[in-house]
Amino acid sequence: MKARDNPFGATRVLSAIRYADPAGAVDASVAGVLALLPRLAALGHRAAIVGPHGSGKTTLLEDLEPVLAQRGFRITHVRLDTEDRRLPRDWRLTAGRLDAGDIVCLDGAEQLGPIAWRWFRWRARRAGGVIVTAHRSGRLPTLIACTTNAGLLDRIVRRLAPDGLAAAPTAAELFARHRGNVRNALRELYDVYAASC
Amino acid sequence: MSDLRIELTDGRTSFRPGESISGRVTWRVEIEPGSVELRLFWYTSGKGTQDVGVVQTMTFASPRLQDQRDFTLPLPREPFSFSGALISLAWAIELIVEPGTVVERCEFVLSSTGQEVVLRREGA
Repeated sequence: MKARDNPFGATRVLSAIRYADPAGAVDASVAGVLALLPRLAALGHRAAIVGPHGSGKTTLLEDLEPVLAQRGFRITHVRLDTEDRRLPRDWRLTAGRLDAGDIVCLDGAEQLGPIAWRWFRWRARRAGGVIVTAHRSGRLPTLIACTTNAGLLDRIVRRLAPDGLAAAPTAAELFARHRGNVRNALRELYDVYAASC
Repeated sequence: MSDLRIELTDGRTSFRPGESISGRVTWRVEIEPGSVELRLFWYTSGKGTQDVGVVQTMTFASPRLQDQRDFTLPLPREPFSFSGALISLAWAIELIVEPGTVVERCEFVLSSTGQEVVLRREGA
């Protein structure tokens, strides 16, 4: 199968599937994001989206950003991962311009060591909000703990590939093999479909 | 309700490196457009993160609510349109009217044969 026809291609997955509560419908992301806003406000817009790898933290953060932008906040998105653990070179300059109208969204807060984290928080102190994703709770009050289950994975797979493929493993098998990491489960399905024809 | 269209000259959908792509764009929008642009670009799709390369942008001056303009854009020599199991690269032009959320895209093939290059796995 050609890459652009693969239903589990990264772009297709991101455009068709947004964050969803494991107990709800796959496409409940907008309602889910709106439901988080009162708690986010109660936490002073300083909160963490917590969850293991592949549980939808980044997707939820990306869903949250336009909703906050529509409400008048300026969004500064900072992404850290294992390949790039340091804050951007221009972070000091960016942070110096932050005020109550800004919300800093830090994806991958666990990549910062304790000293770098404290420095980040201090530099972002004038911002109207700081929302981070992290694998564990503790850096900021938890806004939501992202979880997954085999049922959610099954609904996502059926949505992306309604016709299925005989050679494809079941959602339950994938979920167990990837220990709940939905992203990795979908990547395995990409390979299965890529080899299918 | 916005209506954006791209029509390529002679209905062509494949081009050779160095040729020009031409046609006509038409739009009908409800809010006075601040800017109207036609972007020539390639993009990848597949297992990994998408990559995009904008090659040229054409801006249409003094756009009206309902308008049409002709365009001609020279095409580069590469990259060719191709598809393998892990990654595909496609060419497209996109009409963007701002403010607004509606975008019209028209895909085409760029290669020396006029066909998308298909990469096959060893032994396949």
